[in-house]
Amino acid sequence: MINKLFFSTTLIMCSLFCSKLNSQSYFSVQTSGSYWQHTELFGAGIGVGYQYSKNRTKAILAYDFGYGYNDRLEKLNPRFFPTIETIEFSIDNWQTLEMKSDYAIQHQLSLGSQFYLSKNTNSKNQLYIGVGVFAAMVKHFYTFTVKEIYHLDIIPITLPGPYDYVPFSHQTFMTLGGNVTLGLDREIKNCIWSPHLTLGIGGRYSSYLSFGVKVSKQVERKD
Amino acid sequence: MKIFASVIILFLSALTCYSQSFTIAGSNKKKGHSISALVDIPLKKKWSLGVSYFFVENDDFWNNFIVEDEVSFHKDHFHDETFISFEELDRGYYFPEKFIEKRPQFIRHHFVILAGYQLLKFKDFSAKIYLGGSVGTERISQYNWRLFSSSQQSELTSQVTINEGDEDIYVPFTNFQSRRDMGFGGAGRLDVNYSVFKNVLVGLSGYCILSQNISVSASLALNLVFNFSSDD
Repeated sequence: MINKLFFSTTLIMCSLFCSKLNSQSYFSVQTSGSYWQHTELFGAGIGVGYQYSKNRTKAILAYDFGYGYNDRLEKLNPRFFPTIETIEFSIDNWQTLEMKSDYAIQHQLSLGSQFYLSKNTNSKNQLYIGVGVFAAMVKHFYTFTVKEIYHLDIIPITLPGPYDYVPFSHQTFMTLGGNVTLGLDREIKNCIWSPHLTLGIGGRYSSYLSFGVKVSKQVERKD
Repeated sequence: MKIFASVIILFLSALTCYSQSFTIAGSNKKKGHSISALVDIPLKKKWSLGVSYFFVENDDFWNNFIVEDEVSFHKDHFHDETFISFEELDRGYYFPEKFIEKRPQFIRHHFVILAGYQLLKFKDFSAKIYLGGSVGTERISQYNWRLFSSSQQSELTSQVTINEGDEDIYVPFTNFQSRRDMGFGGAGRLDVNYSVFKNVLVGLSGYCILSQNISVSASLALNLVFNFSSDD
């Protein structure tokens, strides 16, 4: 699924680059930091994008990859750290392993428009607002809690405790939503640097708030 | 004169990443996928300095043991009052109707500093080789239940007693291992690209990372190169 998403995105972008629209086309790379509601995590991301510009409007297609991490176990009960004893089930080989939680990986594809608020198109600094839609695929590993238990039965063996029982799970899901962006385009050395703030609102607890910097440059034809 | 000269290469794993690990359990081959980004800063003549982030996610270990996806234990027992109660369970997370639980995986982050050298440049084709050192973190999570006893394969739960004298209650997947690790190593990369536009290139890239615990990640992937160089 992920490979297909990557591959499709890449193909679309390559097709767009190769189209005749490139005189008004820009490619972009970006980095961002986000808070994701769906997993209650802060994530860092990198991404690529394609923009088509006409008058004071830009159409934008972008892909972002994000990874977020938060050690919830430490917050639940700090006495368990730096290590939690877990059991490796080869009978005579017990190990102490360090265990951490939670993490999430997000692949996000977004499509949107960007409108310049200033009427002076020659200005090097231009404030813009953008609206769009997004789809994200999220993979999330998470722990629920830490609970001390008296003993553990794994039929036919009973293992005397106490143990620190850590229930956890792993889910993968897809979300859809819309986003609004407020940013500033500033031209530096033939590139456009755009710090921007994005608010995404989606179903299934998939809202997010993101701050990022995008660098874009016009596609140049070969001589 | 080059005032701002940098090339940003984004490296999407349209193909696959193949990871070969020689850790505790011996040879352990794992297929997966990866994504990486590399910022390449030209230095003198054909030399450049590359700073790269490389992410590897291997396939679900669980697929080695069972063929069919299974519905999450937590989803099934969400309204089960006899099941152990987790107040933190309701953290506002979205649980899909057809919730398919994927088991923990093997994840790696590598931060690599590379010295790059342009091997050849012929018309619209170019090739570049990179060598350098890496700092990597990895997370390995693994369920071991199936390895414990083949006679228990239909059982996905264990029983625990929270306090002495209490009744046993069922809990899911108690036996797993999960750890984080960090290691240093080396990395090599070979890029072959074709210039579609003056500042946009596409091509193939081969990446190999050898880390401290004698594990190797090797991948072949599609390359997108964006050239932000400017001559003023």
